[in-house]
Amino acid sequence: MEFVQKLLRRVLLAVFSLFVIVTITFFLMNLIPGDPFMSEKATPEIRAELRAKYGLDQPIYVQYVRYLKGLVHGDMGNSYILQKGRAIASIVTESFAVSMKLGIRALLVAVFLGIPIGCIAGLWKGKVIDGFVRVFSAIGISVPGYVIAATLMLILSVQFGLLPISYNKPGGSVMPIIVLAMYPTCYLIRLTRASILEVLNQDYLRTERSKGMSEFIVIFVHALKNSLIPIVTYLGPLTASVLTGGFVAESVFNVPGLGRYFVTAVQNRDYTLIMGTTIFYAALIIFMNLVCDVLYQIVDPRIKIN
Amino acid sequence: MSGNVLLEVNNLEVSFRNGKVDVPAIQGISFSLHEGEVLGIVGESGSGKSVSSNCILRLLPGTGRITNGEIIFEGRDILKMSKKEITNIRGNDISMIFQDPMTSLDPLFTVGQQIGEALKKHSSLNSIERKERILELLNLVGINQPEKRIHQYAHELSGGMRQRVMIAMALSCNPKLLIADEPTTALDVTIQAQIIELLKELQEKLHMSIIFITHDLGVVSDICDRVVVMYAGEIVESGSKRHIFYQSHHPYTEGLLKSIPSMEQSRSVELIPIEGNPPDMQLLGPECPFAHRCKYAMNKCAQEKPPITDLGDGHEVSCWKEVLL
Ligand SMILES: Nc1ncnc2c1ncn2[C@@H]1O[C@H](COP(=O)(O)OP(=O)(O)OP(=O)(O)O)[C@@H](O)[C@H]1O
Ligand SMILES: [Mg+2]
Repeated sequence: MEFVQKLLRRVLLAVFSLFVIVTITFFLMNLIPGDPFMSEKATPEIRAELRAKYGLDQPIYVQYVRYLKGLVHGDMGNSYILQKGRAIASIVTESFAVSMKLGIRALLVAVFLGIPIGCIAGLWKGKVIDGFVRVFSAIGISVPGYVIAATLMLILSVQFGLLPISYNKPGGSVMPIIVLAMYPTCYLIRLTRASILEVLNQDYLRTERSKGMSEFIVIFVHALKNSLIPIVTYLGPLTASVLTGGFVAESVFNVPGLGRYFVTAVQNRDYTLIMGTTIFYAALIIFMNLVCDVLYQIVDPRIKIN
Repeated sequence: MSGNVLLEVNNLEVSFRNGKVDVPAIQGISFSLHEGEVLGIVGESGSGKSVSSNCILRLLPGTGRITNGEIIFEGRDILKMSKKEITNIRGNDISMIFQDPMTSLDPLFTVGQQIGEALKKHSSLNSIERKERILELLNLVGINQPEKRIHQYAHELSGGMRQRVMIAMALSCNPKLLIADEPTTALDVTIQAQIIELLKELQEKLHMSIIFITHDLGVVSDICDRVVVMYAGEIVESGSKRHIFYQSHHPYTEGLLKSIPSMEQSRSVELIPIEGNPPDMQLLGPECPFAHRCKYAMNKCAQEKPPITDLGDGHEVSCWKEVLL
């Protein structure tokens, strides 16, 4: 019962955060110079007409209130530019499906490579393999996504012709997945390594050994479970960010996902689409964090949701 | 002493690797323990109490190495055992409780799971029998509502309660030897007294041997039969409780005794026994390591380490005073 109450409070808090994000985005967006129709090859009169048609000539607070009203009724409006007249909700769902397909695979790569490699590096601290992993993960974290993307393209596509550059061709999703998974994999490697090193020094492992537990149980049951705790916290935001698609990976490889829509929406001042993608991103991140907190509580008996 | 010799430590030497140099921590100590006997190990911080007792279960931290000596338990040298043999002894014939009960239990497993692990490894009980045994153990160490506690996690228990759980865990397989490394230092005074009382009762009831490590000579006089006094990785004096408390011969023991806190002072106050500090273990010379702090120091003390003098009746001391005067 207590749990449900606390959860409810968290949900209310989440809705409030979302409201704040909507508000900030709305006003910031209107501060960007230009408007959705700036690039139309039309006379100033026609542009003014268009602005009036979409209500963009009204004072900003009027627009804001109108947008909120729509939102409460589940209406995010239609796209002004990119897919003229199409409902934002439908654009977002469709492009998110694309991002998700890519994201889930990248996420699996990150989790199933990052955590075991981090463990190995931690358990063999100071050995050659650890040094190798540390250099690799440092590079993976510090090199920006577009550099990785460009390098991969140059080597795998241009040089050796192994993979197509375009997303639509068979095998086209491999490079976007690598680019998307690179940072989270390396981050998970470092997080897991640090975490397991921390745990290996804990007194309770000595207690386990003093009971006659085998090294296998000490490491793979007790040390590992304890070192996964901080990783669970990171998995929420990680999932959200990977699922929503890297802006870079999608733009570079021309993947019709949410990330690319977000970037082009901003470039084109497609106001409703900017709002739509932002709200979706924010909601997803907030939701994943919530899921993570609940998960965290299940894994770690010490944590009570608050 | 009534029983047979259970444990015999001979000439144990331990050093820790510090960068490229080996720093000695234990410099050839020998002592023995009889069945049903309670042996106290006392000494200042850093004197090597924990290191020497950890050797008995081969639980030294990674950088530590046993460079010499033997540890004979029931006729077999523990230091020569295979990994499998030593894990069969740990928690079964010999078990340990540690200083800090706050950090010595795994936070992610329930009390019942953690006690059950040892039982599962060392006994042939099935899961129902194991649960019964756990409840029995929790009762034995004075934990109320064992049915509820068995499902609780470490963070739900107080410090004293956790140490009781540690004791229950250590006793789960009826060990012949319990090593208690400062089991009360991290607890507050009234709880300390309760835990000591509990260990005393359990020792009488189960008739096991105990090695009891402590800073606190008051506790030693309470529960130990014999006492070993350690200083700078060596045993400077050993003997029965009576020898140490009423006929001590070593100036260091004397200093320790003078610094027993009176009843009004808290027992948790760390003893600052004697003027000066123990020597830097990296810079040990040929002299008696206590010489620079000793008010009886003679020329000889600065030149050579004193030999062990047997004062009879199991009382031994390492001091030139005994040899020369
Ligand atoms: N992990 C370690 N690495 C390096 N040196 C160590 C390590 N553990 C202990 N030592 C050294 O071994 C010596 C003995 O330490 P030990 O922990 O046995 O002291 P102690 O008598 O138990 O002290 P305390 O009363 O503080 O517990 C000390 O000089 C210490 O510096
Ligand atoms: Mg110690």
